[in-house]
Amino acid sequence: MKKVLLLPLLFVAATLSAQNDAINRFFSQYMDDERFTVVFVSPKMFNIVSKISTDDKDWESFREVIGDLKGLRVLTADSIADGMKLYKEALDKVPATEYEELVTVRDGKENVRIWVKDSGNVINELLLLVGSPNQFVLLSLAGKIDLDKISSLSKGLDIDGVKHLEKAKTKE
Amino acid sequence: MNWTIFQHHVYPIRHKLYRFALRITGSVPEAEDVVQEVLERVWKSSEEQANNVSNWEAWCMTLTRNRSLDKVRATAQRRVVSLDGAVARESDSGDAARTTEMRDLADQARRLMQELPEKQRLVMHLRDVEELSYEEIAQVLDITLDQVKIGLHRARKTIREKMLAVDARIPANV
Amino acid sequence: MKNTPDIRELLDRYWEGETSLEEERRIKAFFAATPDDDLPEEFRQEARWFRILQSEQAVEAPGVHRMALSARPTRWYGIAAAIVALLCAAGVWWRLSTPGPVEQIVQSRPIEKIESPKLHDLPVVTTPDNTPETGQSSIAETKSTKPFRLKKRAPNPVEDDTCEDPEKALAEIKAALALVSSKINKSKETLDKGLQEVDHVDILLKRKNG
Repeated sequence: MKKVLLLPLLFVAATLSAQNDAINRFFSQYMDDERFTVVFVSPKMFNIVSKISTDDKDWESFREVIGDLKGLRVLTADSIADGMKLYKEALDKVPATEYEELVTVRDGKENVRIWVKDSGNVINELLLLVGSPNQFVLLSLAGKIDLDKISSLSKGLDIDGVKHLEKAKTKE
Repeated sequence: MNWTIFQHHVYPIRHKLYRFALRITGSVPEAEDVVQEVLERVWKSSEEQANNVSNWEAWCMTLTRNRSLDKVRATAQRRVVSLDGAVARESDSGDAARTTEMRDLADQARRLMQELPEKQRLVMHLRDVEELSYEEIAQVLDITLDQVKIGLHRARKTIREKMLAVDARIPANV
Repeated sequence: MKNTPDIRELLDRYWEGETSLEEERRIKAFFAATPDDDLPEEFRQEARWFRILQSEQAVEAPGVHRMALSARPTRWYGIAAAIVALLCAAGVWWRLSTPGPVEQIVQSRPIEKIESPKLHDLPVVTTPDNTPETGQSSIAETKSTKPFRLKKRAPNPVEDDTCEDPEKALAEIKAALALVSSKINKSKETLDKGLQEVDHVDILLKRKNG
């Protein structure tokens, strides 16, 4: 069994660093490709969204997370032929010097990787890459990112995003 | 206008529309504006308008032509006919991805073609760059088939002469 | 090498404006496939012309952003009823995904440089029994109502929102966070289970010491 190191994380105030050029290029390369669904959410939009108010009790913790975020970019293709090829292509583009690998999971045919970029003790960008034979997701989240808070969110969240992936998995 | 039609018929031809607008206006920023405006106009068109269109491409090209000509006329007084200036502007503006050789060729192309009278220039563009049939060219430019043929004939003749003249001045291996 | 007299004849007719599209394509293909060194002197200048045409054909419009719409595109102008229906649907959707007694979109603080018309008096409140009622609210859009914009030579191409509607943006954000969250949790779970088999799941989880 592989040796695994577990060390606690510590976060303080963040600054947003410019998102990486190679990743940018990957996004622009496939942005206009009809096979992909593209989502961009700008800092302004995050700002607006974080000001939405509701009495939903889960909203508060959620809003805390959103309030710290500055940008979201997602590139998804969910029924393509060359998911793994794209996965590898994207993988190559992530510079190991800038991004630290946080998670690598291979579950059946689905490959997942998560990287973080931090300055000091603060994570300011998270990259998620998912690849399987007919599916591809590249997600970049920027801002002040608190992994603990994010992972504790799943209870309150609508998990359509995950269901959507699960659906794709059962096709295989 | 619904998303499916837009995505399949209109969006994919944006490059063609841009090249056409660029040929007419001779200006990269104006061409960009034209394509933006045409795409929006098409996007906003009503269901019935959309249903009446038999040939999306021709329609969009016609809209592009009209919008481009509007722009050209609007700036006619201000426009300084300095092909070198126009060419220089175009090379600065994001052509970085193209090789030096391509840029030189592009400059030459624009110079050669921009000097043609408008109708000849557009017929040549639609035929030699976009590979439209005579009928399609006639439809887009709103001229007769004969005018297309004559325009093309004259344009090609002029280009050939110019290239011969140029070639005489410069060494053979370019 | 291709048959030169053939090409010569085609070229002559080309310059006269007498070739068909198919013949013109043949000429272009010929020059594209034949480097200058392989060409007789007389053709080189003409070759240059066809190279010029080729480079012109490659010119592309600057990138166009599309809205990543999962549903049919919304029209922000048009009859009020259509807007009402749309937003009620959106409100219901949100309510279904995030159960809560009452939801209300309040006006965000004014954003400078609003390029688009505001949406006035849009009802977005839904009650537990799912009957929408009108409320005082308006949503100012940060960007224009144009569903797309040409990128003008932007060095960083990823600037513009794909959703104009904060609710939709929120849904996307939630989906994104859900995805990240689930992946992190999946890896944690597997770690906790003390997985013995290494061959079908690899886990590498590192965290920095603060």
